[in-house]
Amino acid sequence: MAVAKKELAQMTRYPTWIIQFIVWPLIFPLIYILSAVGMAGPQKSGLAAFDSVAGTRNYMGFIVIGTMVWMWVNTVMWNFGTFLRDEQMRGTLESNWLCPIKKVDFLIGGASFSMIVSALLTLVSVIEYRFVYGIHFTGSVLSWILSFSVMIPGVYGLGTMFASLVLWVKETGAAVQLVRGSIMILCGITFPAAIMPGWMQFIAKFMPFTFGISATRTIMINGGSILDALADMLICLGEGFIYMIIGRLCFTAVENKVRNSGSLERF
Amino acid sequence: MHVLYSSNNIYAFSCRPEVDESSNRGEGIYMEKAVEVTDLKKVFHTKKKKLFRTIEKKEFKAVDGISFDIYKGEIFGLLGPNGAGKTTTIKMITGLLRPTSGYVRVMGIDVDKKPMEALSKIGTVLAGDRSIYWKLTGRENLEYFAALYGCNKNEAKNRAAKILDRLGLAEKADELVEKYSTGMKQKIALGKALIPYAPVVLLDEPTLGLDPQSALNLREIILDIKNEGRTVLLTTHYMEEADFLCDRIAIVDGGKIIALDTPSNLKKSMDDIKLINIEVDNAPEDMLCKIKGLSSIQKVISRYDEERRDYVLNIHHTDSNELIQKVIDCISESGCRILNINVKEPSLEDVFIHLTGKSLKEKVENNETV
Repeated sequence: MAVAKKELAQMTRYPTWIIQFIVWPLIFPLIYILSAVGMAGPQKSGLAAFDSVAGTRNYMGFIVIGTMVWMWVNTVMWNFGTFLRDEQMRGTLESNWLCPIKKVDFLIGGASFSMIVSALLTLVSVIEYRFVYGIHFTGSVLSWILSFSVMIPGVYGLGTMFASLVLWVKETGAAVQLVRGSIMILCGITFPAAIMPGWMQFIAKFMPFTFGISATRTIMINGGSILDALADMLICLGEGFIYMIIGRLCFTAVENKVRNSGSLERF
Repeated sequence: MHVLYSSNNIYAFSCRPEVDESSNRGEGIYMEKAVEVTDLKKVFHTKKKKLFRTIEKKEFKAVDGISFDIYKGEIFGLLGPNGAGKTTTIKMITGLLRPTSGYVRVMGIDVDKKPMEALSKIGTVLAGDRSIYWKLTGRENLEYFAALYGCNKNEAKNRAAKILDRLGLAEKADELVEKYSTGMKQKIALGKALIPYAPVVLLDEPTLGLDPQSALNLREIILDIKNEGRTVLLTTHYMEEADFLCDRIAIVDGGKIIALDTPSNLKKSMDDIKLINIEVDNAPEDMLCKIKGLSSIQKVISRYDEERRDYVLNIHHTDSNELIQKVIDCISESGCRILNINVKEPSLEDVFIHLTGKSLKEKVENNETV
């Protein structure tokens, strides 16, 4: 809690955060929406083909749901991974490590803050998409929250793995691109997973967000109930817990490595 | 049974050191150990890689069997040149680094086996002003670290307010740290070490980079910490500071403790040694060899002073001061010019140089003979 509060205080002292909150959710899906409009052809004749693989003609809704989930996952993952690295670069990681707290709690504290921020970002996105892009979302707010919540264990798990990797290799950029790129492609954020080659679809099944996005689309644009999305939600949740365990093991291993090598403050 | 009251806490000692209270110097007998360091070793393994293939493996002994005890209520100094192993030792004491062998106990708790418990007994300043958040205020920093030590909101607020007051920062408490001077930042870093009210306080170069007045203020605070009955482990590059503050000093070099005693005893060990400091415009090797060849010369250390752009010869000898003329002759014969010369009493710095052959100051190149 203290870590999250500290992060909030620091964020508000950089005024550019407002751009991330208001402008970015609008710009990001626009790239894909305009691409979709262009490729749909005259009189949107391509929509039928899209409908046959995506199960909906609401291509704008399809895209913004994907980008919204991706932004949420990406922001949290990014903050998870870079949180310790930022502390390391700032010189404050050691002074936190010297306090009698579990190191993973420190990481979770920082990431929890970003999860809350990302949730607010999602809320802003929904409002903007409704009133700027005129997208009509189906389902209740509660079901939306639920469909997002099932992705939390996966975000924590993969985020902890990601943070461990960054602490180990001491480099954020390459690790970020790898994880972000994989999620972006495999989970089908702007296109239906069905158009990917079979082997990619197979790998995508090991990503909890594939099922999380699918569940969210079922609820928010296809008018499905929680029961309709239940299978996707349970798989997302189950895989997420497995990633949480793997993430915790990775973090313990890196924590041990850092203690043996004394590389905590090294860049 | 002696009980020491601090403004914020009570420390009860079953056995208070038998020290002359008026002297403030710990030359008496301390009985209870606050920190025990026993046969501590740390070996680093380094690999040289070509692409993904390891082509060379090396072992480096950073700490090689260090043992010492720090008693409750004393200020213990750890001195050594860069690379001597003191930072590695400190990191092992705080549990940041796992020893290859040996153990550390803080207030009787094994740091490796119970790191959380041990950490709750240590307040630490490492890396000085970089160890705090510049985008937070001084108060927010202290409240944050208090929370990490398990204080609830009210307790954290109270402790932060008291410490800010004590550090003389109450008025600036709600300004961002980035607007503070270096001395003020260093004080907040010290405040971070004080916030847990821990019985052991570890200060790594607490006055580094401070102006003389700020350094003096900080030293007074460190003495206050001792007077509260807390134990302080201090590393510093400033010999005068170590001499002024420390009850005992361990001099570390090459991963080993080469001397451990009170500052006055360390200086006494130099009683038979006399010192001549000579500043010369050049220090060629043949001249140094000639000086080294003079009878009763113990050690000749030459270093280049970048500020003054001259060489300083530090000559340790056991002869009478008649030797000075012989040294002057050697320098004159080599065609070098003497810029300054003085005969002095040994200081702690000289003890250090005598023992290690190195100066504590950075960027020192030295030549020595024993």
